[in-house]
Amino acid sequence: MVNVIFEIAKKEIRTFFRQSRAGATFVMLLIFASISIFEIQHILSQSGYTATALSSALGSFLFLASVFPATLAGGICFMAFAAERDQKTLEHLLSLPLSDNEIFLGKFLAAVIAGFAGLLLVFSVVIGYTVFSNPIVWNAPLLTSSLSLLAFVVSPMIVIMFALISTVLSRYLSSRDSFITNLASVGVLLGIFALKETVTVDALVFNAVLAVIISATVATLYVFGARKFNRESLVSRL
Amino acid sequence: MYDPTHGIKNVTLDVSAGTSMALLGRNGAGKTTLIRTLLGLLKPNSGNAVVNGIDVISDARDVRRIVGYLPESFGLYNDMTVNEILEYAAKLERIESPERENRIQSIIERLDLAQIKDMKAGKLSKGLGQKVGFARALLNNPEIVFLDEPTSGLDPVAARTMENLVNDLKREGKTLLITSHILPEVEKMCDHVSLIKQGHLLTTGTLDEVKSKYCEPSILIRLHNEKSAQRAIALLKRSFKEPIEQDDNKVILHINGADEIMATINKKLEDANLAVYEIKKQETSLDEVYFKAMGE
Repeated sequence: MVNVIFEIAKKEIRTFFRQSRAGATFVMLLIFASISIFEIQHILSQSGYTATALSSALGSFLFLASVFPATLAGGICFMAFAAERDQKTLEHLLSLPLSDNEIFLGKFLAAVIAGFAGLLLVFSVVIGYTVFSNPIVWNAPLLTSSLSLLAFVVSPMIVIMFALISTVLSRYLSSRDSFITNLASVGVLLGIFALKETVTVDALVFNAVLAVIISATVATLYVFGARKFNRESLVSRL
Repeated sequence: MYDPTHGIKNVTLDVSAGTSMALLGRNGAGKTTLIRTLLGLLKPNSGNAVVNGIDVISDARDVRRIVGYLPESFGLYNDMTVNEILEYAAKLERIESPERENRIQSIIERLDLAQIKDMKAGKLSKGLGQKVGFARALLNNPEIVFLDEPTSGLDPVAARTMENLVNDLKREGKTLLITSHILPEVEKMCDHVSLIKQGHLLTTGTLDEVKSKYCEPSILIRLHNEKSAQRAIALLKRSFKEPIEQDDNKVILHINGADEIMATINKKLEDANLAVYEIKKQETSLDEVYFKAMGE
């Protein structure tokens, strides 16, 4: 049976990566990964090449490394609807026998898949490089509770949150406004990163609070976004 | 000007299978709004909308399953090939394989798209793009087809192709609702006409019914010269009470041009030794009807 949500997602990802910005996206992912690697190397050279120091450094800079995958996810969602409007394909899509949810989830799924793939790539590069290129003394387990929370909950939830925000806002914004909004969202994430580095709160507590806030935001956005997403609001803006 | 807040009011269009109806009206009259409402893309503020017995408000997806739609400002995914576009649309129509491949192949052959099927849509001319858009609208083998300005911006050859496609669909028993501003083309494609003004249906019916409602039928008689025309008028006034006009060597009798009436007139004039060079029903163009109906 044809899974229309998956088909929409597949088409969105393919369209995004066929554009010239796909190359730029890959370069940006590597730049964010390189910045994180550079900073982690710097910390290790000062604090010693131990698993404890590496885990602590990863705890800070994996967050930074997840900024671009999150905005990539947001970008796909923004572009998904803005591009449909620009190419005048939206009205035909809406005239197909699809439910509002199927269209919404198809676009959203594309962003989440691309965002998660970006996260996997950046995390693999950062963790792989820092672990295998340094003489690490394994004095403690690398995967602490705080790091696990960041890598497996906070970062993926940030990706989901950005995809949801973008899907909801994309009903109202043009391609240009979408780009500006996406840039602004990078600023917000960098602000959270700066806050994380300056506040003197235990990393586990900070990540736990962040996870709760993001989860609540995601849940609210999903309920609000899914309920408010309808053809009429999109058609009235054609 | 049409106030869009008034919307569409009390519009019922009766279009039988195998026929096509033109929906005519000025820009902003509510034609596209009506089509979007019938597709469930816009919800009526009050009342209901029904297509083929299916309630649009409660069962919009069922309506969309039986309708093919070519929007006025339609677009194609520029980065995809024609084949990819049709395949994507067919998947979203939930057409399963291998029926999907068969349907795409048959539509490509039917619309003569084989040579461009591997071309990116961004490289197609407007006419070819329109054909692909039309192909996409027909993928689900719809019972009803909505075409919003299908010939707008097309060159004469592409417009003729579109006309032929519409006429083919009618022969297959499809029902078509077409909006257009190009009235001569509407006359070639449509059997029924509905005129809409500021969201209200002014009239609806077959082309002849609508024409006779707004323009009086008449018979044109061409004679040898002006003097013959004057004699003919004098003769015809004895038999007909309807208004008669003269234009040089032509006489225009404002009466429904039934064949038997024309035969009677011909005989009367010939009996009076007046050579009739031509006698025919005056064709009223849809243009005239449109301007009269719209009060312009």
